[in-house]
Amino acid sequence: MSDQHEFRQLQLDDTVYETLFTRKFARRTPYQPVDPRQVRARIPAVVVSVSAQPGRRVRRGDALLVLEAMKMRNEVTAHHDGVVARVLVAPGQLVAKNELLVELE
Amino acid sequence: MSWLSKIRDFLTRRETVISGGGPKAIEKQIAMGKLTARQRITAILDPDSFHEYDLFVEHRCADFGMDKKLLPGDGVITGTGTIMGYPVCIFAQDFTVAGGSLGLAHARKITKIMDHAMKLGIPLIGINDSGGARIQEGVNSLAGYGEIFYRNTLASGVIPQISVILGPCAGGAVYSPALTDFVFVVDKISKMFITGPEVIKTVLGEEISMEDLGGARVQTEISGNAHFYADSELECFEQIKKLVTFIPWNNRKKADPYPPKPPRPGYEIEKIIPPEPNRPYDVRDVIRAVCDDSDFFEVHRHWAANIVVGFARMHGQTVGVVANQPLVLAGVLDVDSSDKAARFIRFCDAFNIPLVTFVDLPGYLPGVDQEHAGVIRHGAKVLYAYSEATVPKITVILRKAYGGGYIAMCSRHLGADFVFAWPSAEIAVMGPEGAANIIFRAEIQAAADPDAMRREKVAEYTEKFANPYIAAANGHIDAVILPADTRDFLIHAMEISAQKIESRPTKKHGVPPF
Repeated sequence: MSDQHEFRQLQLDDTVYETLFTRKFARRTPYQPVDPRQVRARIPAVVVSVSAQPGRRVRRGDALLVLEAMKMRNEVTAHHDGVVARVLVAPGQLVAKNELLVELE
Repeated sequence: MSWLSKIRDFLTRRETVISGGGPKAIEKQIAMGKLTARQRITAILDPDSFHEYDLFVEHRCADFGMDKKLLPGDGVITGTGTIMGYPVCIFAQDFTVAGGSLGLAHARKITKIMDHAMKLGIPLIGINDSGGARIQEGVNSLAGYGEIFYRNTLASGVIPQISVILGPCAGGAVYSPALTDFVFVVDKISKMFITGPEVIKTVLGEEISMEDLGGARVQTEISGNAHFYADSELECFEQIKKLVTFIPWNNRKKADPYPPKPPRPGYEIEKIIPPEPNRPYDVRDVIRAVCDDSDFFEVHRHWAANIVVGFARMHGQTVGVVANQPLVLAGVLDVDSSDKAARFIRFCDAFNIPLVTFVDLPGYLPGVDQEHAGVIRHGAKVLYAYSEATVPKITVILRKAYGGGYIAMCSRHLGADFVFAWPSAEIAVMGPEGAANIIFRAEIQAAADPDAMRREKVAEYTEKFANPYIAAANGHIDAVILPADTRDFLIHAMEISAQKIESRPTKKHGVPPF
């Protein structure tokens, strides 16, 4: 159960501390701001159907596609008005959590 | 039937049940690198101390051909015995009998021994090795789990509850261990998860091995679900025996005292902390330098290593030790370390174990992941647990005690009975660099040489505030002590607090930020 036995630097309140990192801390992923134009999968799922079409104008609340996960079908809707720029998935496809599904302009 | 044939009949019946799932199943169990349920009980308990009950319990399920299946002991062995002379109730699921699956009769054997443990006021040890619910029994097996969880909860804080995961423990079954005080796991043998790799693959398309999902290492290092990790079952049993010596039978008693022993030679307490305030050291060396026989029994050693918790003895009396660990992440409090400390503090308080806290932390860990993971509510658990605790609370500030971290680590303000500080202590609102940059921002910006001015102001702040004397002048600490006197002060503080009674407002229960 070895931690990395290599001292790293951690800056807190303008002081730099020499210390070991836990594996969990070393592996943390940097924060990525949410881009409202990107519609992503909230849960790993199978794409059942895709109604979004590139170039088509959508209004907030319009259905873009249907995902099936945990024996439930969920409609994924547009967060805001816009034009569909890209559709990155097709029916039958398995998508990972947070995978980009549709991009709006 | 003659007397002799009755005896013979009994012995045959007993032999049948004791042989569990039979030679083939036992062979399989051994091939998996596991001991049998009976071997486990024998290895944990003192020789010849095990007394078994409910040997002849049978299930009553008639569906799916179950009426033709006899399951010896219904897949679980229950009884009482002693560990290092301490009485315990124990149950061990027998994987050789229907995969240790839990049906209603199986569950009722467990709840019966749990009820015994509660009535008798003695610890409960549960060995989990089960494929899960016995599907044939349907909702009755769920009822069984529920009845166990209910008792785990009622027993919490009344008797120590120890769970040993020696095989699969999946689905609802994981919640009994999760409700208990200490969970032991063994490399390559223990597997804990709510949903297994197969379900995850079908439902979510994610592929992962059982080991990577919920093996012993994952549960001790990543999730914190388990407290103790061992390479083998026998090593695990030694850990259990050691733990039992540190804790009381129940919440009405104190842990048994042991003959006092001085710390082992070789720990030079004055030399442990490096002179530079940003250099790391292993705080466990400080603990070993002051406790009996330098014997520190660490809990949750592999998880959230930026805080250290565990049991030790001071002049023969058990203490619960909580210490920031500058060696890892500079000893900051974060989501996991707060959780770890709070849980341990509450165990100690529930079981009359005095708390000794060693403080050296720069504060809370900054970061989006921390804030979004709820470092506010998790951090609040530490404040809650320390404030709520009425056992003797003794705090030693070794070096940094900055800002919110100072308050959280069992400060006087949270009800510490004694707060001591080494001359190296820095009790301040924040570190000198950060503080100087804020307080003297204007001067630093206006200076011809801002860097030189910053250094000067940092030095000025360090000189004035990075010490224990302002806190001492305000009575927030009781004494500045030499490192070499720490053990003496701790032992004295514990001895005079031995009869401490502190009352709390009457309530049904508090509402801690779970």
